[in-house]
Amino acid sequence: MIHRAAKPGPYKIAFSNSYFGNNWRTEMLNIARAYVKQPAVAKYISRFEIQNSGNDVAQEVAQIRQMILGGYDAIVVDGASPSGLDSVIDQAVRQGILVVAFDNTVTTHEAININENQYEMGRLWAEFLAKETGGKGKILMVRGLAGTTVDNDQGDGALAVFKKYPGISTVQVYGNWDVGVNQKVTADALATNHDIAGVWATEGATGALQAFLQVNATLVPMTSESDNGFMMLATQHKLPALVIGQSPALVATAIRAAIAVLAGQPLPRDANIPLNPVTTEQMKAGVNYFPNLPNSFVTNISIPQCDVSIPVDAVVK
Amino acid sequence: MTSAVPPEGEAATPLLARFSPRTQRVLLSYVILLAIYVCCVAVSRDFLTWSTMRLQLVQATFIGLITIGETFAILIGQIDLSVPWTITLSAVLGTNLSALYGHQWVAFAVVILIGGAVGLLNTLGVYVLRVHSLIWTLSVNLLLQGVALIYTNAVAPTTHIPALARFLALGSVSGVPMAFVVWAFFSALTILALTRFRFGRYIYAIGNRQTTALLSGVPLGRVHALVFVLSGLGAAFVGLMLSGYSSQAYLGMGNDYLLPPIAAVVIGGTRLSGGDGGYFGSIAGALTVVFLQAMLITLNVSEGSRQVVFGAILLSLAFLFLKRGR
Repeated sequence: MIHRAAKPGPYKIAFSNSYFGNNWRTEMLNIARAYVKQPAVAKYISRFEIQNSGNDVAQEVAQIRQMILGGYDAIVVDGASPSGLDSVIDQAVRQGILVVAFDNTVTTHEAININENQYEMGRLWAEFLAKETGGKGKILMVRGLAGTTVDNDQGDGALAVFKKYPGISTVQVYGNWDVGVNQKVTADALATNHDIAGVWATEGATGALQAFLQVNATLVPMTSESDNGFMMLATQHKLPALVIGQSPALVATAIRAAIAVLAGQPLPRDANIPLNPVTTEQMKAGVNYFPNLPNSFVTNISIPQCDVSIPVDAVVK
Repeated sequence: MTSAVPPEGEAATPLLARFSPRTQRVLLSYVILLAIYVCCVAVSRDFLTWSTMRLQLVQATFIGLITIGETFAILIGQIDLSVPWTITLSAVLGTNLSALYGHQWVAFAVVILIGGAVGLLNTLGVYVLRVHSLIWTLSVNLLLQGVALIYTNAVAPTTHIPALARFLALGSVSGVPMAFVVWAFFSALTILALTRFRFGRYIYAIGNRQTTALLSGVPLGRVHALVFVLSGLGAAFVGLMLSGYSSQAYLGMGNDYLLPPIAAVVIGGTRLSGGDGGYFGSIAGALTVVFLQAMLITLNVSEGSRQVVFGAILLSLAFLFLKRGR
């Protein structure tokens, strides 16, 4: 638990972001800018500044050091390295600055870490498929990038479930969280496995689904992260699907946590943001998926449990 | 009358020795392709079916089209490493601008513009400024990545993919994938250019000895420019096809197309030192790379061992050719 003496607002908050080269990060930055302008939030904030470091640890360390000198009350961090920022974060905390890390969290215990539980995500996807297939058949797992923590956690969560069903066997391929690679490896796997009963896929699952359509294979229950393209295809083909994804609105929960702690509210040091699973029946055009936006759009831009609600036109410019 | 040449058909001459070293290497690349294919069939009978082969042919087309430019570049003793982000930039810009102007031919204009511009930029560095192509083209790749990032940060990507791009990647003409038809057409043109056109003779001349080529009146600058522009055009065109294949254009989509085309050229029997080889072998190389990837996926081995096996096989094939090249 972290509990600090309440400090009168409004607060000066800085955001140190490591990278902005993909859709998720672009949306996340737009959400951060939009969130601090919402009236309920804006009254707590006197200054908000974003710095990007180009995924360079040394650069991010230097930026956070500047932020310490800049007299900010809190620093929000999406880190370029789990441990590389530890010493500068410790330094900030010693100066009385609150540090909240999210998404790519940090190992130092001086910071608050906010993330989504990837193991749980993998487990929920697997539970869904086990239920849909009646606990038997061959599951194609289109995993992410081999060797990363997120891929290990998601995969372990899934395999822990599949192990409980003797009737389920798995075929594992790696799609690198990329739509094109997902499509290629799924097409290859389909060419030689004609008895796939379900597909456990993560980011880039749009490609896995497109591979089924490309080879005219019978559609089977599938899972995905919050890819707009996947959700459009799933509703269009009435495919039983479960969508859960890392939300770019995590940045808003991190800002919210910073304000809460500065205002004297106690918070746990490690927080897992609740997941928001969406099944095909729950998909609504214009609400949780967007037919007029690109396939690559990340759809879960709000986290209702944390009172974070971002209108879609604030995310797409 | 004595002759150093042994009489024709003498029993002592082994069959292989009757072919020129270059033909031997091309034969070897087709033997390798056959061997890999037999392994695929042994792993799964599905590789005998047309539906599976269709998928592989489409994948091989993406690699094969890039391999055209890469074969030219390697034949003149250079290399083109600017392929990945040429693919991405052309796909992102092409789909966006064609949506913006409401006409799919805009995408093709973008392909030509980007391919041409990248090719000329590469020529500037490699031929005019004499920077080693390994360094220069890799730097151009980084530069293109920067441009793509700046562009996508300012403009939202589009949902609209030109219908023609989808047809080129996924369509078929009487059962034959359209992509393969395109590849076959450009392959024939490439082989013709290398064996029958003056352009081909110039390429081999430059690859063998640039000074001699210059003294013999080969227009070095023009040939370098043509080689790099063709390579850029190939990559840019594949970018458009890939956006049709996955129905979207996104950052990083070309990242898997840096090394497989080069591996295909080497397996195809073209020497990395230049001047010796050809596109006929590269076709076998592209197919070999694709079958190898498909086979390792079918075997359902872990990703780590898959990469180890893929790397080890490519290394040993490259070694086989390097040894024969001496």
